[in-house]
Amino acid sequence: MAKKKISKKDLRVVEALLFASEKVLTQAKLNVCFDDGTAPALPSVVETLQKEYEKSERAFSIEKVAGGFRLTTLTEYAPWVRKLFTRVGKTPLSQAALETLAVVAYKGPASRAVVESIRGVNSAGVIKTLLERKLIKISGRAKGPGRPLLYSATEQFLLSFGLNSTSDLPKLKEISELIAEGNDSTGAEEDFQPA
Amino acid sequence: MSYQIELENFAGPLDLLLFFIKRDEIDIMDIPIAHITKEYFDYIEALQTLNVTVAGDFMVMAATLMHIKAKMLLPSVSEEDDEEFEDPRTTLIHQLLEYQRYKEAASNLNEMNTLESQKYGHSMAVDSATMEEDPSFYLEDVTLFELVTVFKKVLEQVPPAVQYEVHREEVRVKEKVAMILSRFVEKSQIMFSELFPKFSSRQDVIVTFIAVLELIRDGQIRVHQKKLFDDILLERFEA
Repeated sequence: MAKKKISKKDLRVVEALLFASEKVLTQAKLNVCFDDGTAPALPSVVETLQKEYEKSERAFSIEKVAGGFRLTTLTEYAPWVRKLFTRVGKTPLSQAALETLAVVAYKGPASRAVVESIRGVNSAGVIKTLLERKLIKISGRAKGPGRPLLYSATEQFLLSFGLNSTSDLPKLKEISELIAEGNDSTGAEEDFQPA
Repeated sequence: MSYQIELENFAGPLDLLLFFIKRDEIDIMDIPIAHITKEYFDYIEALQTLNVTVAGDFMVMAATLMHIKAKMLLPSVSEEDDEEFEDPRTTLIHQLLEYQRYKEAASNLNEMNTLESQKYGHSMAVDSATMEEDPSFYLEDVTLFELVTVFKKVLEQVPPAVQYEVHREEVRVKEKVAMILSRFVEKSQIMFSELFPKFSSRQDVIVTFIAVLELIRDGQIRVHQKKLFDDILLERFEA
């Protein structure tokens, strides 16, 4: 796929689609637009566009998130943009909610008992809150006794936390290392920026 | 100095223990159980003097700590057989280490969300001033959880069953499906609540709900919701 040279037209078509997209643009959606089967490989087009934007210092870039791509403004312009707009998916969460979300995201599908055994505290209320916020969903039942409900992270979770998939979550071990580094240098946050 | 008890909010007993471990620079692998237990009980006592109800989970941990402390005081039965001997603290240490990993992951998630929320894009940014005005702008995908929540609400509105009723009307899912579809002839969108007339029976409500689920499953209609706990909008899905 990489060998095929991307035509200028393809580049602009993808740009137009990214611009007009309400949700993330995926390869499947792109294929629909080229009904003769000549759709270019989305990742390589995105890469080319991304370089263009960086070179010309645009105020936006293409974010790889929830299995697709979308155009977003750069974080450095947030102070101005936030004066007019409210960001959908900005979710102030309590420590309890974040902990529960972490267990579900890393261990999911996970039952309430799994969450509570790790947190050492009743988590029923927090799970309900996370369900209401659509950050987790009921994804089935466990096979064990009582067939408890299992919870998994949602697409909304990926979108709100800038992740392409749950497998892109930083490894639990890596986090400890990053935090240890973060105590030495202040620039450690940049490591978490999604590619 | 030792009487300075922090009354911060802790997410649970493990969180509280980790706080002591960090504050007193304790090696997590070699916890001085007597010291920690004392700190823990002081904290709970302080909470109780402030009339704060201490949650059951905190009391469970208090019991666990006492149990470990008692076990460590008792002479080991097989002191010569070192391999058999298990430190009574082991389970707690594992639990603490596991919790600590997720606690770190949680604060990491928080940073990721903060960073992500500084990026704006299509349909992610809503004009703050007009947030409440246009309902169709706010249609979100409805989850099973929300559908059931609304269903529960509908059930609560149904008047209690009348005792002397002897016969009951048979309501069939098939008929309800046809009834709902016929509604779409006039309108392209129907509110979920409109499907339930004021005095419909419990059975009627349930069958209607099943009919809606059937239609969704068959891809004949789609459902949207303006915001949490709001009424659900049904829309004919043209294939």
